[in-house]
Amino acid sequence: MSKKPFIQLFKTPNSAYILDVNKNELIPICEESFVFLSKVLNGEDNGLSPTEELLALQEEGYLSTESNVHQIKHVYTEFLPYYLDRKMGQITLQVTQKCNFRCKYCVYTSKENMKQRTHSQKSMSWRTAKSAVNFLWNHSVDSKKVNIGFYGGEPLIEFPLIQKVIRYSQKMFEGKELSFSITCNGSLLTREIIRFFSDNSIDLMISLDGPEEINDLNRVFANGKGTFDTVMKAIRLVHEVDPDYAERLQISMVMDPQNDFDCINQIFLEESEIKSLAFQSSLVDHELDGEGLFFSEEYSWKYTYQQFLAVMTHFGRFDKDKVSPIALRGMGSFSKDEEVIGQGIGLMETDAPAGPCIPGKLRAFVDVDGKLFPCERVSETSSSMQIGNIFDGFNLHKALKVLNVGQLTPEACCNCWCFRYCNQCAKRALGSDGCLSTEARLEHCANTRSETYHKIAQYLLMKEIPVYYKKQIGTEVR
Amino acid sequence: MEDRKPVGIFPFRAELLPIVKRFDQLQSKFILKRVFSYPGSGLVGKDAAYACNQPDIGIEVEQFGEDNLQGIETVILVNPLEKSKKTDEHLIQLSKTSLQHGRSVLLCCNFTDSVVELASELKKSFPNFAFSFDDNYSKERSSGKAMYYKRLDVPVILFGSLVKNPDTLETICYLNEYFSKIDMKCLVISNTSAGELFGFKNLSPILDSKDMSDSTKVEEMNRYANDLVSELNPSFVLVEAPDAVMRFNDMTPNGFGVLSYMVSQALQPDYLICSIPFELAVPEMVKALSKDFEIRLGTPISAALASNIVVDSAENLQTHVMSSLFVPMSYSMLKLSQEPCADHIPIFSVINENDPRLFMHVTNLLAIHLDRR
Repeated sequence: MSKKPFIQLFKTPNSAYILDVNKNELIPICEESFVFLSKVLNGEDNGLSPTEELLALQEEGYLSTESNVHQIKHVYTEFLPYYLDRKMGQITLQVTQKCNFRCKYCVYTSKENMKQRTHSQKSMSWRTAKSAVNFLWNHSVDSKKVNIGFYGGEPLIEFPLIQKVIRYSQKMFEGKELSFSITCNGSLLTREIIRFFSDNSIDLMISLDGPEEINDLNRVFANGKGTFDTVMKAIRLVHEVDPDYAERLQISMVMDPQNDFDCINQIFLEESEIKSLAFQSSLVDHELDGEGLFFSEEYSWKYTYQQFLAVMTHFGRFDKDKVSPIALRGMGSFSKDEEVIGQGIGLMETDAPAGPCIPGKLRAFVDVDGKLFPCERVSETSSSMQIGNIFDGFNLHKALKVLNVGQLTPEACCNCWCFRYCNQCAKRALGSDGCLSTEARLEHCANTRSETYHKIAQYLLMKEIPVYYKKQIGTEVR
Repeated sequence: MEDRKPVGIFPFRAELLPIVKRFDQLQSKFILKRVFSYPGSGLVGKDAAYACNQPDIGIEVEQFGEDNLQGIETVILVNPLEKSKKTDEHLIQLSKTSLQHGRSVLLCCNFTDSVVELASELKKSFPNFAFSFDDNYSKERSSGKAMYYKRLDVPVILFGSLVKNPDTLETICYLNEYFSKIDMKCLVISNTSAGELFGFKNLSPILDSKDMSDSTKVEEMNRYANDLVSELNPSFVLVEAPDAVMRFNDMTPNGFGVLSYMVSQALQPDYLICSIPFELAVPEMVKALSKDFEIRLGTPISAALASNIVVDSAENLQTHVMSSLFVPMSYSMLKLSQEPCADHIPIFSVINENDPRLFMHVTNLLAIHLDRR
């Protein structure tokens, strides 16, 4: 084997595997083959011949040395105009840029933020909001359902506008499945608002980062006062006004890994109103302000331990109620990974790395001025991310650039083992000038590969458990 | 034409475009004056053909409302495929509105549909209210005939699709019109209750029945089709497959083609014409599918129809439900023209009014069949 095969090696405590990148298949191999391939990949001359197993795989067309991919082009490239014309599924309206909070990690608050706007007093006009709803109506004829989301700043500052948009949309979309969602900080919720949301089945998500001592470290009012008590009061009010609706409430939790994981998790143990609620957790996003993430020791080992308990719970060996819901939720994403890993097709001559969404189709974000962005998480000041506006329509040229962000790094992508599992959307390719940049994209590659490696290794281990530890887990797999 | 009653149809959607396009040609009782849809369909104010991204046909879709009923005597309400308590109640409400404004109402639905119970009450108070199924399967059902299973005496052509879309009905309507022009009688079995306006028969009441086992349904469909052939004496039968003919992939099982399998067991098709999204309608793919269908449905693909739909794989991955979109006909036809010709399975563009090749192909199939006898 003179040339390096286009593979990635994986090792679990029980077995060894290769990911044949071109074929996108995970294949178990023996220890001897693993050692041999490790040396080949490290460029060591081991003086050994390939094992019988590897020769047989070569015979079957595995272990090819060149990437199948010769051109980076997203499979949706030609269809993008039609998707944007007929298949939009969601818009998120930035009804205001005003906010009564000044969360310390917020990208709009950060002083050194070069890639994102700062807090402002701008709000969306009714004309813009109405045009945005009409825009969705005009571009969703082939979508069976549509969703309209409200975002800010703090969207409830513009509650009368939200009410107007909801009533107008219900009229416009009569006969189509229409849903609404709102992410807010909870501080402005009143009985009237809760009743309106409940009556109109609005999916409500409230941001809360943990118990008081954690939440109030970052989530503060403009005057610097902590927000925990106010938000908890609001959550209790939802329970009081409409207990059924309260069951549908969701919590958005931004975790700062500088903090102790057990302290963050405490909210689920202490607050009965929170315990039963669905939630989404994410880590503080520093991609737009350039700061790095710092993981404290207390966060890392405690989270890892909870992950272990979650795995034990999955196999029926530990009581679910004693495990962090955050870690249990991670098991849910394992099920999703299971659907994807090793299931997709092999690499093709013209192909594109995974990662980018179909910009504008999935969850177009409309800012206060009516500018269109792929989603609410990208920079609002980046010209590359502005894929049109609701008055003049989509800018196809820009949308195609976002879709084909892999074309920034063709050489690296074509020869990367992570091609099918990449999660780098265009947001991660934004340079400090707000333009899509090769260097910015490449900066994230090592991290992406590391995350993917662990995801696949975990997938393999989870697959092995019922085989190698049958006795220990019994038959009960939850 | 003067004796025809002016009608409006509601709620218009992509599945009904074939009905709307050939409404005036395929029946002689009504003349289509208005096409209504829900505001949320995204079709109001647009040409009806926009529903399937086809070239305009000159019929504008309007919003249904009591102020919009001028110029029509009858409102044809078509029960949607995805039925619910809400759609039932809405159809009843619209029926009442139309009746109270002096219009007749014809409700196209299967007698097994839940809306029938509500609508029957309405029928008692309004003589101008009628169901589409009055003369069909419902009356024959209790005929008490003994079950028997036998192959139909006339050739059967099954029209299936890889992804359910209006193309199969469009093709059936198109062929029916062509053959009726040359006085060749065909029995058409479609899946839409609106097809009954054209004299099409419908197997849905059997397939939807909760009283029969699956094997009894197959036998019952076979009996019903044999009875229809004896009664109507057609030269051949055109059948629309009730669902997509096979599992699309593991992510999107798409019904597994269970109903199509049952229909093909009941009617034993001699030929299969299969609609395939244009990007998949390449000779190698069609050939591979044909081999599969020969075993699965008992007949290989005689001709493929390249449909102007694109499967939305990204959405399928997220929702596990088949989702697609329509690209302009001109685009899919251009792509089709760039593909090399198949060895032996022809690929046609389904909606090409000026291209008689599909009609010629079916005529040849029927001629070969008769020769064989």
